[in-house]
Amino acid sequence: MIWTLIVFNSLCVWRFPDRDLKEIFNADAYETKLVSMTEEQQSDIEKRLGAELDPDETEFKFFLVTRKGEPAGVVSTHLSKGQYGAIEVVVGFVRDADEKTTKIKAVRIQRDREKAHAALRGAKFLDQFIGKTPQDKFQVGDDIKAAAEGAEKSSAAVAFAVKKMMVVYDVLFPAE
Amino acid sequence: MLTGSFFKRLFFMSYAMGIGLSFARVDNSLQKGMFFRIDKGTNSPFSFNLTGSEIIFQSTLSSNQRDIMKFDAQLFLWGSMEGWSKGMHYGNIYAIFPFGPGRFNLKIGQHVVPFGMQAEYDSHGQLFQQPYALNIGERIDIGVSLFGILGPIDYFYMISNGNEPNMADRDDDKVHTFRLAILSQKPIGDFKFGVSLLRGVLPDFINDPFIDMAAVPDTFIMKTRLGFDWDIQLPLFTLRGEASVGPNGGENPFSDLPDRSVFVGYAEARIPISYDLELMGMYSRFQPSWSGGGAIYEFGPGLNYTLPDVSAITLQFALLRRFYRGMKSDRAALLLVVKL
Repeated sequence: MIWTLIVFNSLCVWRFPDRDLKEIFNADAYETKLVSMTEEQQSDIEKRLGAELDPDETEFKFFLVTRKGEPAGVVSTHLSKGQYGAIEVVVGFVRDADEKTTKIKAVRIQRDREKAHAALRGAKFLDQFIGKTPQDKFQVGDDIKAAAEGAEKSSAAVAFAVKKMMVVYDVLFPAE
Repeated sequence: MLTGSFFKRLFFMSYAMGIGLSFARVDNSLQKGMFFRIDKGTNSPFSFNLTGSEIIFQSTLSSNQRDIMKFDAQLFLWGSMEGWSKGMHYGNIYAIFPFGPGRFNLKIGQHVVPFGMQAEYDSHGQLFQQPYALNIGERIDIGVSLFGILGPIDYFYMISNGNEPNMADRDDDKVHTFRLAILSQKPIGDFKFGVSLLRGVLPDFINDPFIDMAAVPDTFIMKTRLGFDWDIQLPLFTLRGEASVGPNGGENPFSDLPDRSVFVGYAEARIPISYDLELMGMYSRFQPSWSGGGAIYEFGPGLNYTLPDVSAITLQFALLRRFYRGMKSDRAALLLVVKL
């Protein structure tokens, strides 16, 4: 069976697939999946995010991760608007079949030029995301603490990127 | 259309069956780009230039477990770039066969020669260009590459014709390019260092094809180059560059070094002011001999601006001073890049 799909994209690259696959999922392969969305899905995503998608965000790329041929999780990458340029965010998550939702397994920063570079990449900040679901707020000052004092904007950019990827996946791949 | 679609499906079906897949999916994406420049220089008129416009078509063939093949084709539409300079920016068309994490990837077709910083840094669509035209004599070539990651080390090897894209090969000589790079991510920043080695018969230009688009190679000559490159990302600061040495001609690259070696250097710094605005600066040097005689060098500041809500549109501005074998010239350039 062959499926074909054409989408128009401007997407963030996944720079370290080998390392992330091993460290986040102990997995051995991945499959790239490009997904476009309907107007209805876009409206649903924007409503849940409380913000509009960028004009060039017309589709999304997900990497479906497998371990010995069995599904192990999903990776998504996103270019977020930091205080001093783009922040490349990697989100690894798994679908919880019992609770019919997705849960974050790890969040990583691939590239950034933020002042709070070390704090943004530190476990203290990034580990706060582990276990969160698309239903969580991802609000700096509420359920997420800023990476450092003065880094509220950068932290919020990362949190919003993570939430966006979770919500988009939840809408485009609804739990059965 | 129906026939094309039928044959495409038949091809992928056959390919998928050939590698034992019962399921395969092809995802396609399309990116459009336009590069519009306004130039004014000491020796060049005030002019509007559509230097190029392009379509980049990307496909991924996947099984239900892993990616089998990625295909990229960069199609030049219209623009003022021509001749050999056009072949340094347009003509990428290749297939990548990934063999999975921890294994190598095979790349076949026309693609960027992985020498120095151009192995990973895409200078296409940038006002600042490294001096690869004078140094190596090409950027995109026809050949086969192996690349991958071994622990912290990225490795690249390419064997290619040495002719630029879209050209039939003219001899048995092949260009061999090796590169190893290491990335270290530290709390203070990310540091990537690469070392490259290139040897083969390549085009050699006396006139810079980016200044004179009608320039053709004055000769094809055996070139040997040892290069070092770096990409340092610190908070509020990016520094990237490369330096390379090696002789043109001769069968003894090391003993020929004092007589025939060129020296090439490039450094670029970027300082973000905000999300959408960054300051840039560049120094580029091509020296055809150790003594420094006949050196070509260029330097200047610039600005890079990204539209706040549309990251697909950027504006670059640069003021550049160039010394071309003793002659000084200045130019100002504004570049609008649209990628959708």
